[in-house]
Amino acid sequence: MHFALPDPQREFKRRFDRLCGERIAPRAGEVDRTGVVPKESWTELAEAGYLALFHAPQWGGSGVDGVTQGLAMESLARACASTFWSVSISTLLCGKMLSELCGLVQHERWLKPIVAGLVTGSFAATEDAAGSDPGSYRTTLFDTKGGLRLRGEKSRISNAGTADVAVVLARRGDPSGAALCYVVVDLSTRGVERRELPKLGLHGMSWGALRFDDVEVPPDDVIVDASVEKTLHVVEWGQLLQTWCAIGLASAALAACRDHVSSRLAFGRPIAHLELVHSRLADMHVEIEAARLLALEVSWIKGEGRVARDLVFMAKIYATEMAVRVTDLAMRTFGGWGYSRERPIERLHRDSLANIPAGLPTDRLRELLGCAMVGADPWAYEPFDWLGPAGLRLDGE
Amino acid sequence: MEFVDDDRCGEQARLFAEKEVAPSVAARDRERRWEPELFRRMGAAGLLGATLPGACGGGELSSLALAGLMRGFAEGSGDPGLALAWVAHTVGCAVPVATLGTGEQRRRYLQALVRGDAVGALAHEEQLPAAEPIGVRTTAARTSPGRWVLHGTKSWVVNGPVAQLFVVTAVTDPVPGKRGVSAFLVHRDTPGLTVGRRIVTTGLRTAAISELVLDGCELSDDELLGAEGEGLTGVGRLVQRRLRVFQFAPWLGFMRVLVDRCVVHARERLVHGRPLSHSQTARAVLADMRIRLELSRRMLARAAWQLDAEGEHAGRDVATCALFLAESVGFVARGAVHLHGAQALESHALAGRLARDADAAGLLVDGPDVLRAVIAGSLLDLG
Repeated sequence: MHFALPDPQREFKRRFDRLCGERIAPRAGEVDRTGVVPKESWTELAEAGYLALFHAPQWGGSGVDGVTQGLAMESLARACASTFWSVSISTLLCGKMLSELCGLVQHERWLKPIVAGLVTGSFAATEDAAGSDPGSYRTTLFDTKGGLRLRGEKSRISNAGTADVAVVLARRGDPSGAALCYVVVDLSTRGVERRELPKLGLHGMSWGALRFDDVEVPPDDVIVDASVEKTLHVVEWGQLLQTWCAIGLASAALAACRDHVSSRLAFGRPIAHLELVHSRLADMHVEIEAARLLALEVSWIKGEGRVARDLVFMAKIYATEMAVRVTDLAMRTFGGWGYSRERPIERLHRDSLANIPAGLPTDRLRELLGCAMVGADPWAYEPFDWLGPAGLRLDGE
Repeated sequence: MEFVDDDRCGEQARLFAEKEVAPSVAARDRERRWEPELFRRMGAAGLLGATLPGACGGGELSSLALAGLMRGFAEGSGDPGLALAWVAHTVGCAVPVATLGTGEQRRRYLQALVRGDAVGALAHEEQLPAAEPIGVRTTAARTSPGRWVLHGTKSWVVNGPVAQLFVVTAVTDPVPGKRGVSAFLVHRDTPGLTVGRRIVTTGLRTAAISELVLDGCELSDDELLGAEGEGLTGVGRLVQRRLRVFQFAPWLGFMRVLVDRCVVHARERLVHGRPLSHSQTARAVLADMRIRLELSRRMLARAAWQLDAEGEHAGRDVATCALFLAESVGFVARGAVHLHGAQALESHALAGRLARDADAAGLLVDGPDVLRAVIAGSLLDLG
């Protein structure tokens, strides 16, 4: 193991940190208020190479190593979580769906423009029912005399209102059958309806439902070979996205606290002198470092083209829950100002909450991890008598 | 940055400890017994001098590799007390002798320390009134040119009852300041040195811990370790960071043992007629234990790497690692107790014993509150 950053990684981080600090971070408050990521942010991030980081040169990517990708994700998330989510859902999650699961036609038509920052992508799997349970998905692609049609409604989809294209997970033929496929849907097609869902945080990113009302689908836009397992592999990129978003938010909260406790006076001295205040900063730092080291390793593994599985689950569970704790501690450090919309702290806290349920909630990931450890089936249901064996059945039965 | 993990050393240490150490650990723990021959076998296996120069019989390994050895040893042995004795011996005594000792001191002591024929110890901590900025009250007064006489009591000396060689810190210049403290290398047979009260601990019972009393202990300049006045800047600087990393290095192995045991336990133990592993709560506890283990592993690897690399924020990274590990060791142990229920109270059970020792492990060297202040000081540029 080796923990020093080589010069190219260090240099990229320095340049990209600067862009994020000078251009993206100052807009974060406005992005949160208006609900829009400005066009120039997309352009600047494309010019700085962020959109290209995750992809191979043949699609316009820069093909850099995973550690550099991870460092860049943290920098952007630290500056503005909404911008980070919106841009990364497009280039990273949708981009990887297209590059890893689709063929040349889709690469030319959608992947290259996404990597160039010309169009926006999204990934649509979850529906109104339990998102962790793909068995509940009902959106279906079926044959008609006039060709293939897509029918159903996806829900809680990032970039739903702003995306040009969506990779949609659908059933083939039978709404309750086992066969799954991906459909790459041009969202300007007739029959696509979008509905925005109000939410607690990440206000700058559109999030909502995509309704497909017998949308016409050319056969080229269907990828027949979709399995739950394969989807889970690509979803790892999404889990990495949430992991880094959490770390970026927590690190933004810590940085804000450092400034605040050094300049804020109480009882005639900076509040940094209070033991409970400064020891809290130490706790925040320790948790962030633990999450960051594991996230860097996961990024490194993913950058080498391998499956991270357990490690990305663990990184996501710890990092996303950590960021909620850390931003909560930051709110307390700021006192009443933590609650005010005139300071960034409450936004960091609201935004951090989104990372826990997204891309498989931490409860489900714990279950997948725990089941793998003891060799249990994470899909199984087992009836259990809660009261009898403990002798606590009090109704006389 | 790269994360390839070469664990060959650790695997050898695990096999050694499984064969040589594990069979006797329960009995030694019960009887609080120290076995000199066992320590010699650790020396013969190359554990005690792993990071020392080849010229004195050492293995020339990196700090990261030593951490791997300790992890493997812990996995195989299930013996936190003996692992602690190893850390006190190697980090507290052999490393400073090898790094700062004169040619004569190294010739006299190193081979015996590497082989485990002599046990080493660090006698630095003292029970002090709160207002003592340097942390040392033991005095070394110059009686004539080249002669010193030491007075004082050291409070928590791991290996104290069994060591032949002590690294002792004492105030040589009473004007307050870091440069007033020097380190001495004191042989057990020196007149005026007596091993004081044996400290009987709840956990870590296979390590021998005591006070050390220096009552008119006469030494010469030849017994100074490093230059006069460099007890804290030389020996302290060398030892303090390493102790904070290596006190936890074995716990990666012990945490692994706890996680593995709990997996087996969860599958075998029946609760109300079904295996404990059928409980979703029990599985979540296991998952969280494993997450802590994996996070700890990387935190410790980075800190061990920093010991040699001395990169930016090396001191902060060491304190960060120690604080995270102190909490993680307790977290994993509590998880094991949770899953084992009343069985964890059975004192001969490995999970129970490790859980008991984990409480003590997190408090050695510094408590978490001191580490928090150190980390915060670094974050806020307070020095």
